[in-house]
Amino acid sequence: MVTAAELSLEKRYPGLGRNNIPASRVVSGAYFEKEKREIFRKSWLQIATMADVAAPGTYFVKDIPTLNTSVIVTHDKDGELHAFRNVCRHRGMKICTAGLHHGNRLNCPFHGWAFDLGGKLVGVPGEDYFYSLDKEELSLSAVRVGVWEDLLFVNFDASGSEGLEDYLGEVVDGFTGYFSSAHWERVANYSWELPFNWKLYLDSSVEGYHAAFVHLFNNTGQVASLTPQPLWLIDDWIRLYKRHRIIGVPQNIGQREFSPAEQFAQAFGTVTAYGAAAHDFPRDINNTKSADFAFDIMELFPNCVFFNSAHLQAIIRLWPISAGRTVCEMEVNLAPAQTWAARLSQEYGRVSLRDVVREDMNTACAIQSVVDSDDEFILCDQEIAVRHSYAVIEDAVNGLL
Amino acid sequence: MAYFDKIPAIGNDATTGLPAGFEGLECWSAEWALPTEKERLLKRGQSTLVELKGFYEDILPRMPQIGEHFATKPVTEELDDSELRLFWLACSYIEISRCFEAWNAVDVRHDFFDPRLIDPGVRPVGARVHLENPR
Repeated sequence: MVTAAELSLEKRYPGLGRNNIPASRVVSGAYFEKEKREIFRKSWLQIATMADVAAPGTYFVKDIPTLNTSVIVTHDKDGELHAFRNVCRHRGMKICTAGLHHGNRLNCPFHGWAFDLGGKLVGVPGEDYFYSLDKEELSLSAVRVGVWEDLLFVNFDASGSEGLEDYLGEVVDGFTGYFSSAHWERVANYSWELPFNWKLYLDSSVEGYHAAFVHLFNNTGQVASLTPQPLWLIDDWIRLYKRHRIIGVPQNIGQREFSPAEQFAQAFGTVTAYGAAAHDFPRDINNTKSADFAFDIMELFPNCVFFNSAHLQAIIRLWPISAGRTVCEMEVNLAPAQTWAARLSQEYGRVSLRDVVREDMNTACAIQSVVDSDDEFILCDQEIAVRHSYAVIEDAVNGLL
Repeated sequence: MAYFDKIPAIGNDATTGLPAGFEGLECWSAEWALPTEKERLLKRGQSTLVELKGFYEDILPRMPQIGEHFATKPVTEELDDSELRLFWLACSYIEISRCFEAWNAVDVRHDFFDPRLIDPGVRPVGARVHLENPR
């Protein structure tokens, strides 16, 4: 049985203080423009997994609504990855639609300019009609690309020098093998455009205090009530780093019987988060290797929320398009199904997680619908990861990170 | 072809029929053998608990048998039309199960969502990944 936390997280992370959070940070258009400029244009952004661009001779296109752009990640025949702005050098046409494409040429649909998977301009219809066209100078505009543990990242800051590994910092060695495409099958790519500030969803992901209220009926095999107390997190399961943060969430509190659908899902697959604790996790999953572990929430700065558990892995990416509006993506990864019964089990995994996430998004919509820039948010010791999130973002917009 | 693309033709015998042993669920096929998650969620949201209850109570005791049936079928083999309908009926059970087993309501709280946003918005690309394992 886990024990309650005391007012001790503040002592563990003394630099974060006790101040309230100005609500203007989720309202102000000027603040959002700073976030866009200082954070989204300069950070490594997690956009896909290697499962999305697995084979040489393919390319994957991802729209980035926050930056009003789109990126092409190519996997050339030599196995090299490249990334480019999805913009033709001729007249600015968006070359490819979002998603996976097969082939070794990128052809602009406007006038047929052709680029190879290395971004080089290799064909211009009617080339002789141009004035001194130098194809060598007209490659696609490169974007930095990196892979960590089968997760794909891009960085739009051409002048930036920090590599992906340094950016990942404290977590870089902690997940060996966990995200490997060999372990997981993608079972859903959701996308919702919703009326809330992107940080409001981050906020609800890294504390347990809300669970007994927002998720009262949706928790599975873990706390779903206030008795004996809210879902307090265990001090050393909360890990706050330079940019990123991880919180562990326990099970075996307020445990109840599995429902018929849960029993079905367990009988024919392994899809729920709350299976037996796996003690062979890499270092940063279930960091204390506790038998009470249910799942970890990892927030990779700036905009990704990872749900990491034994049998269910999800990535929620928040792409703000204004101070009050966000494109929310969620990909759900489960153990690969071998039978059609296991597919039904997967169905339970994805729709049950979908509805829990909708509960948190509903909360964020509600806050945004009434928030005033003069309001303040009050945070308790158990909400220290929320405080950390605001502090990191504030440092970043001020160029102090 | 992925199962959600394989929508049976409407208005002929191909729209009816379930695998042997599951004929008793036939009366629910027209209403609940819905090929996509989006359709199943919308149908759930447009129903009352009372309307959901008949289907729920009829299929619930048959779910173990449905599970055993599909456990013999590897995903590398396509399902025929009658198998697909049974599969979609089982998906619909899963979609509405929590209405009775968790919430006693047709949905989680969504009172601050614009109603049209309830659409799960599964994009075709992701759905294809679901069926055609990229590895």
